[in-house]
Amino acid sequence: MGKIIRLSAEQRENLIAYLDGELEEPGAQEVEQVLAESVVARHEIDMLSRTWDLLNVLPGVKVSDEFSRKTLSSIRAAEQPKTRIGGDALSRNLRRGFVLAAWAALVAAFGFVGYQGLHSWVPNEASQLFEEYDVIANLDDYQEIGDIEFLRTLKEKHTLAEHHEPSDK
Amino acid sequence: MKQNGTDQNPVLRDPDVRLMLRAKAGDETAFTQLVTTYQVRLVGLLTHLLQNQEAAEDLAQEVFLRIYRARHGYEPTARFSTWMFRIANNLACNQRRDTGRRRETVLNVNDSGPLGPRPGERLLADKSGMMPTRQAAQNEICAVVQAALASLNENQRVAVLLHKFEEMSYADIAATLDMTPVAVKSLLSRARDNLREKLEPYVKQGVLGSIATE
Repeated sequence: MGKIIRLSAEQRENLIAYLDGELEEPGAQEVEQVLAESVVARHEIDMLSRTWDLLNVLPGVKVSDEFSRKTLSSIRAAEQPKTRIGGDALSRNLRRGFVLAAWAALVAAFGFVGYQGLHSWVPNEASQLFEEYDVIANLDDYQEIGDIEFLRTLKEKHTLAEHHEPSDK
Repeated sequence: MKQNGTDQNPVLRDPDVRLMLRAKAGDETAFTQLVTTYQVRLVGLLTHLLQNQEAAEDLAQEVFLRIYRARHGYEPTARFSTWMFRIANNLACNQRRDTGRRRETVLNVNDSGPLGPRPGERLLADKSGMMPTRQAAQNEICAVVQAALASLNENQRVAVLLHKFEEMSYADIAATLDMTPVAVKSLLSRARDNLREKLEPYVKQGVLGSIATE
């Protein structure tokens, strides 16, 4: 008859690992020796095996045939919006960029035209002075002459030109 | 001597790892095959963890979605099932933490094995011609075993389910639970002691024992 010896915690762990086929050879031999000598150990291993076998009665689950189809379609659905949103965002940003660039070009064009128009069509005091420089330069002479008819006569005779010529040099 | 990839990385011998690598390369049919292969086992495990099949199915979809999204960065460092069950366990832990409560499950005792059909499993539901009294006794055993399993802590329960129904080694369970194999040895030892404590009175009743081993 076997000895009645209480198993230590380590021996119990080894006993279960032995049942699970996870115990290396030296440890397995030790357990076999304990089993051969101990009634308690044999009872332990019997009860552990039987309670472990009871787990076989656990009910299982049935997964419907639709599960994999639903799973795969939900994965595609979860992935697709990301791609579509990404594509939409890209095209939206591109469109926004084009609109901004068009507005910038339009503003620049208007600015250029306005600048040119300002210089071409609006009277400029400096350019007016430049254009009338000859009159302004000789304004004292003209005022001294005083009579427009006499000025015309002088112009026709080129007297004024001759008179002013030396001063230009 | 020139070594091929399988010699360099033994994980590549796992056919499901190779399927995942094909999925990584853009093969959609490989991913579909993985879903088909693991759906029942994954839902089975999650049902026992969450104690609610509907929630388990939703979470299983989330697990497959995570795997699909991770495919581009996938590097095989463990068996595919180990990797997948690690993701599943993490998500289940998060979910349990979020809900903070356990929900009752309605399990059909006429269904197949706990984690789906597996070789060598014994299905009480397949037994034909059961007498009503026998059916009632079987239902009682199911309830008792479920209660015993539910009494385990989370890690113990996962370890028991993976070891019993996925036939995972201590090393693979350790990889799934992010523990050492020595810690898994202690974990399973405590789990089996707890199960024994809960189930021993029923095991000692010959009728229950005979049904369970039929």
